[in-house]
Amino acid sequence: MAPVLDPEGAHLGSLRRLAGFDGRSVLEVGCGDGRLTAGLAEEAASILAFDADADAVAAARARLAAERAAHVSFRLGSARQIEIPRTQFDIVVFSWSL
Amino acid sequence: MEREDVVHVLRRFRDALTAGGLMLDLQVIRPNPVVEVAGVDVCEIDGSPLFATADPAAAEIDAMIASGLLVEEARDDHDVRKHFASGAELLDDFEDSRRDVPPEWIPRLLELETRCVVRERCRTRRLRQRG
Repeated sequence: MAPVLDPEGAHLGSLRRLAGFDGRSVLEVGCGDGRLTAGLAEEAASILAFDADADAVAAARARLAAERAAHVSFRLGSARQIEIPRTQFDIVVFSWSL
Repeated sequence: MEREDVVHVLRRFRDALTAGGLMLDLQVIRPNPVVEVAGVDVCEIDGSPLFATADPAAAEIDAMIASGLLVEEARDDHDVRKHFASGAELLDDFEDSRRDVPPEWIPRLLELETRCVVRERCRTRRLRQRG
């Protein structure tokens, strides 16, 4: 068995207590293996999620349910260098990524 | 992330927000992480390598708040758990992490063949773009 981070969903619960994601445009900085992305995609209108780790981005793509994939985009890149549009997102999420 | 990178990244992503948009920043906070076995705390982990990056990031956010670029509206403190099949699996995982198990606990964890958990205290801050 591989280690499992936060199966209780404490991180996602914290984000949901602080913001409503329903219908929002979300930018996720350092998405890792998509642990939070999948949960946010249940409510958000669109998500742009990225990470500098190619294996993590591949895992994030793989874990996303097919019916939610249409409104989630993944990119490979670092927070310092990735190209992002200005004034496009309602919510930016940093998860252990600063 | 280096301090100048934190400043650069925060400003870039603040600019990515629509007017009045939100930043949610999740960071590890004190106290130190703890190893639990069967719901009982068995040892504390040195979290200082983690705090060495989390503290400057929090300080830069505080500076942006002080300069009027962000407004902190709320905080949510919570525990996050990582589950391991055994003490050996935990130690193996920590080889690549910025956390240190006290040396005196390594032999005991290596002998631990039951499930164990690392519990960390985290804080999410809700920050609204301003200006």
